[in-house]
Amino acid sequence: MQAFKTYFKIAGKHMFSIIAYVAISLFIMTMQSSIGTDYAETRLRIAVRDLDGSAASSRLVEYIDENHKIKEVDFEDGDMLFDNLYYRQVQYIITVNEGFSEGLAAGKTEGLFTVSKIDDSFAAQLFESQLQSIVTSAEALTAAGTDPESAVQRAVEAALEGIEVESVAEQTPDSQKSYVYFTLFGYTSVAILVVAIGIVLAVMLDSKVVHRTFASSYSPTRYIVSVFAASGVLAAATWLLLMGVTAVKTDGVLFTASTTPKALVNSILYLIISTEIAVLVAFVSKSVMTAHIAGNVIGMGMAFLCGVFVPMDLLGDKVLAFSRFLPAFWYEYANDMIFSMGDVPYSSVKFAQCLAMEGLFIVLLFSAILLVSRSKQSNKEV
Amino acid sequence: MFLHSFKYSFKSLIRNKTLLFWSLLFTILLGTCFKIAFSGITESTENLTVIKVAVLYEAENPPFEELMTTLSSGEDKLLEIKEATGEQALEMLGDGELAAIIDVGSEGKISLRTSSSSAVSSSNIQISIVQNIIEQYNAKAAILEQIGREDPLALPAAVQAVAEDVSGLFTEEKLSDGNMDVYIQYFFNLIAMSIIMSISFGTTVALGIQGNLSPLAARRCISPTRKSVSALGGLCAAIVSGFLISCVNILFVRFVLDVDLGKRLPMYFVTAFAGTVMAVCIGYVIGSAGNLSENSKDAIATMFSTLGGFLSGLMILDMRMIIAEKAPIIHMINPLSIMFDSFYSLSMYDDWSRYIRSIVSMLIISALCFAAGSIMTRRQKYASL
Repeated sequence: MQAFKTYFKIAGKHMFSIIAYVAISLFIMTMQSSIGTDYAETRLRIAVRDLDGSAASSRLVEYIDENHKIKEVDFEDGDMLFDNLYYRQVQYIITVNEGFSEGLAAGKTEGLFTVSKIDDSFAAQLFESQLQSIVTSAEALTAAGTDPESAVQRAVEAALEGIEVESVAEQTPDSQKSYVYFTLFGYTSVAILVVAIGIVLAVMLDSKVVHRTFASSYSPTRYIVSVFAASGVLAAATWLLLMGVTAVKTDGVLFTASTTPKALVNSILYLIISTEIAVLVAFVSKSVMTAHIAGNVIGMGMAFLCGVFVPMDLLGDKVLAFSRFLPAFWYEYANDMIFSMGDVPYSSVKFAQCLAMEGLFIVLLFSAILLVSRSKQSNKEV
Repeated sequence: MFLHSFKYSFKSLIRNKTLLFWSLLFTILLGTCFKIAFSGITESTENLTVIKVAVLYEAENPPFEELMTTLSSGEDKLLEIKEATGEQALEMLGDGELAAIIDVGSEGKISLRTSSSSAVSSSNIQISIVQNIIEQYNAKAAILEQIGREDPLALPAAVQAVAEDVSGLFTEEKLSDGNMDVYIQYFFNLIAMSIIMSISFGTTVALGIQGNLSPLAARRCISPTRKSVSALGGLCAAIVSGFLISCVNILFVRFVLDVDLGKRLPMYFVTAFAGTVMAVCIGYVIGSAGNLSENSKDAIATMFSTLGGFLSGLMILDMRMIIAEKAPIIHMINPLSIMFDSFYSLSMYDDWSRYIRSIVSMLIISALCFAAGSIMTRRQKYASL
């Protein structure tokens, strides 16, 4: 009990650092969830400049605005223009050249537009095929005697006639809100716990402190168990905080969604894994700084490989085959199934398999901690 | 005395094997993770791939069938049409084997069924393209129908216009010859992050000259060596150590991970040097400020680098541009953003002005931090050590 109490005394002494780090993690979580994940957004971001200024070209620009999002950019600032394209703030830059209307009327379509784009991108091909379709239709109409303005108008009207698209997947948009938070939990839990537990254990596992403790009547086993128990309490508090933030930020969806119980069970198992990772990192690193670096390597590495920052269905098969050896993979895989967000539909067998795999990682990590602590004791470092 | 201080500080820093090991391992492991995760991701997020669909005909539609045959044949085919009955197609759609089912109904009505439940699913891209194909087909058919109705004599000319190639419609203007792969940003950020880790060296130097914070510093304080000389020697050693680690990291990213960093690789080392100076000076300020313990100061340093990394786009690519637009001051003073900007300008621009601006910014921050750290540590006297 004495070691347990000491753990929290030390945590209290470093409360500022821990709270500050938790606040940064929450900030990261909130910012990321607010950005959303629009990798596959189908309304493209287009920068348009109309040098023709005719009624036909204006109608074409209106069409682009109706079908996509026009982003205002300074066409004179080449650097800014390129930055926007590189960062995909705009996916296509187009100038409707002077003489567009006359060219259309005369049936000369060559060089009607000057463009800058990401080569071979789906966005460029999609947008170009839409424009080609409009120009072709307008060409057909001008060939039939219609004036360019009306031709573009009618071509645009025809292009805007959408088709019926039916989604056969069941999905409740509300659950999506908490999905983002549960996904990010795969990173934030590791990031927070490695630093929070690392700060305390840097003191508690200091060789001088440990030697003095072990020289007393306090048994090494009791000491390690107390450290573990206290780390568990700290982890539980972190979990409650993160779930509280999720509940608040999702307007209470967490309390009502049918997906919540499964997601909570999944997150609790992952929390245990994160705690064990944090304890293991604290055992092998000697300072907060090294614990932080190690935590970043493990947390971010797993996050990138297992679908936290980049959706799992965008990662290649080889990457996913490798990721199966990481606990975050099973956590995220289960999450995707629970919220029907991936390519794999929910199956209770597969969900149980994911939980079992997480359980296996819990056992493996615990064994690793025991091994490291034993080896440190035998080396008289701990 | 400066050389003496430099020599022993350098020895002490490079003998901190744990920190050295993790500083190197950070880039090596995370860089390898990035390389594995992002190899081929551009193809799945941005580039076109063959789209698997099933076409279910309720009524015959020869022109549409011809279009489907054209799009699903040849080397550059856009579609792969799977033969299936209605039930089979639905099952395949549910299993993710198909991107969409195209239903060709009576009276030429064509609709689409998808299973994309995710806003982030790559199949959404494919669905947009299939949708666009059908909409274009419908639009052209509608236009020809209108012309046929209004002026049947003009129909042949209109059909010819529709059949004509309009591929010369677009003239491309290249804005840069640089590597347009957006995922290279992660590597820029990774290198910047590995450089900023030298913050810990700066913190160590500052802690080593404050007698109330460590026994070593207490011994240094009672020695005749001037504190400024001791600090300067320590800082120079920290810069050299950090710079060497950064160089190894850059070489690893370029030659082992085979990441295309552009044609001006030597200038990356200039950035690494300026960045290391900046990081060490920032660490010096953090280490000098207040009477917080070593662990607390380390924690502040880690928070600083984590937040800086996040704001510069280490975790999510869009973040950098969002901060540049919404909070330009934070973007301008974030050390990681500045370093990133220098790598980015080296890789993308022929012009040097942006690169020079980044280097000057780093040097200004370094000078300010060094001055602040020196003011905080100079002439400190202790009643008891």
